Amino acid sequence: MTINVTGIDKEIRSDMLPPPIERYTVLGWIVKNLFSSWYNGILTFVAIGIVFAIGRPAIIWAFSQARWVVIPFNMANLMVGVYPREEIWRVWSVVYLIAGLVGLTWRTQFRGHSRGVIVFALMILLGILPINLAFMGMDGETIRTTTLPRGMAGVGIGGLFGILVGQVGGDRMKRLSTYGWLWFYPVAIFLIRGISQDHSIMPLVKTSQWGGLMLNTIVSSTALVLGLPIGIVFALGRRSQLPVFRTVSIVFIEFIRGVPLITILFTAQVMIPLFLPEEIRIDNLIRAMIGVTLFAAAYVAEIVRGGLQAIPRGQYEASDALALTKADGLRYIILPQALRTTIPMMVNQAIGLSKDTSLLKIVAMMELLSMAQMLTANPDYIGTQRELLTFVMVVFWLVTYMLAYAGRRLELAQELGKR
Amino acid sequence: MTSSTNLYTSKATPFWRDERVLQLATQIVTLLVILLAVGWLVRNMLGALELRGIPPSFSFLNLTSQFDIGQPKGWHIRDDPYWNAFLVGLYNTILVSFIGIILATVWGTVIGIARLSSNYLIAKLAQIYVEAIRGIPLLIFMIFVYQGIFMKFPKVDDSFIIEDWLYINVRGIYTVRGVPTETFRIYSVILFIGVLAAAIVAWRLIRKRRMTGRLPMTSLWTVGTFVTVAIVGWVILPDAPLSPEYPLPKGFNIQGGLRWTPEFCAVVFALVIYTASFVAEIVRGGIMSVTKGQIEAARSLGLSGIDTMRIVIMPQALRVIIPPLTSTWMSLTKNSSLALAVGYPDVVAIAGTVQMQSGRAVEVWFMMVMPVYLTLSLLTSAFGNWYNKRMKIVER
Repeated sequence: MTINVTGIDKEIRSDMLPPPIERYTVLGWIVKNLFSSWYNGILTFVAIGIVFAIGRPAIIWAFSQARWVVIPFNMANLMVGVYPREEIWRVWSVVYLIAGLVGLTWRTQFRGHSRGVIVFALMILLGILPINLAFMGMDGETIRTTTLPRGMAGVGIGGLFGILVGQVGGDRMKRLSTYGWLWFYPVAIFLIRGISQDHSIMPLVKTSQWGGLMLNTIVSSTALVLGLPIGIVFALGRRSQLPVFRTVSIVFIEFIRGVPLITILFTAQVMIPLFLPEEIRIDNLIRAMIGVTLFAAAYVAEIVRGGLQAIPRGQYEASDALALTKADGLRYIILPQALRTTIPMMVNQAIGLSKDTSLLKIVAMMELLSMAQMLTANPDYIGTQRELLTFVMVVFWLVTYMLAYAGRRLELAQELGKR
Repeated sequence: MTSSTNLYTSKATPFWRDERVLQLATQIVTLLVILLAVGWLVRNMLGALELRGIPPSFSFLNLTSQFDIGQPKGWHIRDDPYWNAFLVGLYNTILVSFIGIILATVWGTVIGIARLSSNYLIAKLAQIYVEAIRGIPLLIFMIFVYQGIFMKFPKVDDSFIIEDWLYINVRGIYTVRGVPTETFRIYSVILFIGVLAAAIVAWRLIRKRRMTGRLPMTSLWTVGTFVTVAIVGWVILPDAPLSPEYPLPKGFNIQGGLRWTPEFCAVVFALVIYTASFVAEIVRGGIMSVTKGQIEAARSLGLSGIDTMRIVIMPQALRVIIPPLTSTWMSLTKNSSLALAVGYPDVVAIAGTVQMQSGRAVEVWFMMVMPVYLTLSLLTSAFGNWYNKRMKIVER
């Protein structure tokens, strides 16, 4: 038997068969995966029946009965509420900023940024091409939606710009992306809120005018940004050996976790004005934010506690052996490790929190859901609850999906489970 | 050189650097700060309440409420006092949570097992279901279910009808109701006997398991005993203990029968569909946590498929499943408070109305609603701990 180096000839192949590759015909695949036994066959038919029973009316409704037109016409209402339309560029610039930061982070922290390039390029394309207007089936009144494709193109450009900046590479850019996110929150709030009542470029926009998806995002990110440090403090308190700290933390955490968010929001709305002296008046939105932040802090505290518990004792002893003070030991040794392991849980918490902001509707904030509900009261759009609520659900689903995706990328970047 | 000798020979740390003193001091200071802050807040609150002429007290609970609660019908009318409204709200919360927990657990288990099915279509459908539902806020889903589904049902005139025992329309779902007859009292005694008999059977079978190591189908026999007694009792009584009352269309409404209001249905439906997606993941994780070797070992011992599931997989999977499952039950109970968005009078919805009317925010939220949920939380976590302790692997 001779081995032909240039290729495998038939003689050899008959002698040395390659391992069999599992390969099915279409029919074979169907038989194996759908009809392997009699009850599997029945199950398959049941499943097809369910898909048909739910899918058919849903598709008929979506394509022939639904009046989707209500959504593009009210896109601005749904996204920013009654935020003054002439100031809307400020919201857009915040969005572009986010896109730029996402691009920068994607390039510097995560692997596989080429996907990011594709996504952002696609957005520019969608923004420039006139297809989306035709796609939405609008006749005549397309003007009101033109900001959307323009914005989309802007997001794409922002993202690509971020990736380009990240292209410089090195630790500097990595640090830039981290500090970028840290500084982003105050900058965004400043842009959205403005400077003063009669400022020529950035007049003040009162919080009562904030609304739509923007409000949801602001509240959930506030709760996360402020809830994290508060939560860490309570987590440390709960693990403290000093009874006062421990008791206070346990009472706080268990109390907040034991009651529904609605009751916390109601309480915050009604009680905060009672608790403070007459002279101090706190804005509606701030009250809601306090409620959501405390709520988030309690859950974050439990997550961090879990992370702290996972740190082996030796790490504490090592920090003592290095003669670090308690605070330094926490800062340089314990917390960096503990927080890293909590990333998946934190992402879950962020997802839950962004979903929970829909509860602001119940305390009369003009967030996305309440804007949608308000629109159904408009005589032009009566009976469009299904369309609007479907849209709101899709928006929330996309937000949570993106958070989950970012979280997975973050886990990969941090190589969780590998070290 | 005196300073260096001092370093090694100093007798005691000064008290301001003694760790024990420092710890005590920080604790006392913290406690004082917290007490002062709370005191300041409470003083402000008392002042504000005094100013509004409503100093904290529970006497308002005896005032008449001036509002009706639609469901359960007739349990609370406008002349009834506030405390009655609270009890009705509490009943509604517990009812919705209880039914929701049972259905969500069953449905979630079905979905969780479906995700592990070897049938591609079933597994894929279950996965799509779980991933689609988990990303949607419950509140929006509940409102969608209420306004988009239950409120779009046909009008009373053209109800969806099956024979004469089921009417579905925009005012709710109507089914047959059993009305107790004279023999019902005897029948309840028979049912009690059935419970006793089932308990005896369960006890005997458990004892048999302990004595012989055999594994009889304890739960099946127990339930079977009870059902047998119930059926036999129904048959031997001269008159049936319950007589059926059928729903009847009358004018613009449907009278009689058992009515499930659209609000109730929407709340339960949304809670079950939503929570089941979380239960499904827990169940899936639990079953997957049982190592393959366990199943192979069971097979090589000659256990059948059902026995493998019953004696080998389930006991081990439950150990993983139960703790997160109890916390899911708890969050279902807390989520039932969203019912107020669709107008179902649960305890939070009623508390909101009472607070609006009476202005008693502190009493209503801090002293009544929150303790209710805290109690439920504590009960659930107590159950979880008890179960954990019972099921913990006993290491020898």
